[in-house]
Amino acid sequence: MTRYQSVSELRTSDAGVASSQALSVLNDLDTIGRALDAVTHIDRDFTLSQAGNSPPGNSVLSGVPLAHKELFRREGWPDEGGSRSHQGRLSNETATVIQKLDQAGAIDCGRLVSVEFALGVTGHNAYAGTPKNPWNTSYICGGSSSGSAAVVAAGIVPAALGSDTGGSIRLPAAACGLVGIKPSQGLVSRNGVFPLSTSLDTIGPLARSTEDACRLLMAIHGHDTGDRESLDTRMSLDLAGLEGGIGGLRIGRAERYFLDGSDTDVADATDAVIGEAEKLGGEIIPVSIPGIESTNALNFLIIATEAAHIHRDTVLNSHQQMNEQTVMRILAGMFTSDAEYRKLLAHRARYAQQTIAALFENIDLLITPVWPFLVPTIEASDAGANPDAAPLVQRIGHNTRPFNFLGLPAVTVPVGLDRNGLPLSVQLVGRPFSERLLLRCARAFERHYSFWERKPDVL
Amino acid sequence: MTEKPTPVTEEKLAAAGLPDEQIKLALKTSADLLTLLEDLPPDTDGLRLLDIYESEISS
Repeated sequence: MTRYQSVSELRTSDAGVASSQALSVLNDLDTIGRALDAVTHIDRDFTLSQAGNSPPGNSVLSGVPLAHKELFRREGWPDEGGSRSHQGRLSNETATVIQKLDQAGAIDCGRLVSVEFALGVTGHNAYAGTPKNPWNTSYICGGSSSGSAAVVAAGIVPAALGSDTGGSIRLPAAACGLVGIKPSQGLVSRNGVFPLSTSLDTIGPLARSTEDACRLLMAIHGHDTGDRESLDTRMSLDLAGLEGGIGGLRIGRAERYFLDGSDTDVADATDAVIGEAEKLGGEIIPVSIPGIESTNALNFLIIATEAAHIHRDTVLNSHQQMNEQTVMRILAGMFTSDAEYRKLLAHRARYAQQTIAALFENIDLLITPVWPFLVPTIEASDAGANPDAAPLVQRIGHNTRPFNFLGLPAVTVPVGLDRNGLPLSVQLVGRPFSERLLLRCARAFERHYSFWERKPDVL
Repeated sequence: MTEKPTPVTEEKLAAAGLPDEQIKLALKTSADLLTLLEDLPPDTDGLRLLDIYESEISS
């Protein structure tokens, strides 16, 4: 049995142990993972062959079984992007981050459901499946990295990769009680990952603990010439840096937009966490972020414009095979001119420059809600079947998209359960390349709330 | 992205078989979003987010 084991518990240089662990995970993916509608691809021969070759003994992920969102390409595996319009396509490349995980000794156990083209935040996907939340299978996982969140929350693998363009790592991580890292723009290569938005896509882990999330980020970050927007940050990440605590940190509390824009249950829970941060030695500083109100919509305009550029031919030729919601989101970007697009990108840069300088002059990090309301059921958030759900769906990215627009790193950490028994989480946001500090703060909350001791009663 | 966006006309979408109702709704959504850009200055210096982030690294 490998369920609910951590990376450090699963790490091994013994090929026999690695094979046994991989077999257990493959069986769990085939049964529990498929029952959760979270799995798209398993290749037993490949996985057991990879595990049977002696994993490098000193590598950070030696023998550790993982599985990832279906957007992460491996040569010869399906490359459908969660869409019937791409049914039967196979990858002819392996993503840089997958190659890095291979080199770190990880065992690749398969691919997990994504929202079609990663363009949606609820997790609904009529073609690949709508993953069920392991905490209560009537509820959504959130999207678009919904399969990754479901499988990690069910304890099948300790961590999985997701992608985040408007909240697609943070929303499912938060809904499923996981640590999610949306890294700084440029920190992790997107080369070989099915694209949605070239200016906004980011790659990061979802994991049951801060330590496991950190181990994956350590393995995948770094400059890559295969991604034109990859930066050479020379960032130093290590597990020892996690244990510094919150004492002495200056923590921002943004009432306007984030707290007053979220439902009372969520705002009160976030305020309670900020209060605990003060008890743990943090200094709480009220902040405002001028202009933040328009960033959600502007972020969507970039996504729609770039997605329209990438998927134009698919929409024109195969829209009948696509989800109507996906088509509508892409169509909204089809009328943007080159001048408007360049104006938008220039505004993003100038706004980020001013906001980063002003916001982080007096604080080290910001704490906000992730979801603006309690996680909804699959039925209540199905905008395709229920037009009344559209306003609710449009609000989901309220607290996450602004930080994609700014390119900032953000980490979600679970702090308890809501009145429906679904996880409640907060989002920690820092200046560019402050992942080490954010993970240190997340680790302090993890110790304080001991959320990882809770497990969903799944299957 | 480095490529220029290539706007699509209503006629081209209609010729592709997209329902008129969807096209009209998409046009309205697009127009509402593009309104947000009206008061912004044009892109004169080509400044991009990654330029800001590169300067963060070197500072």
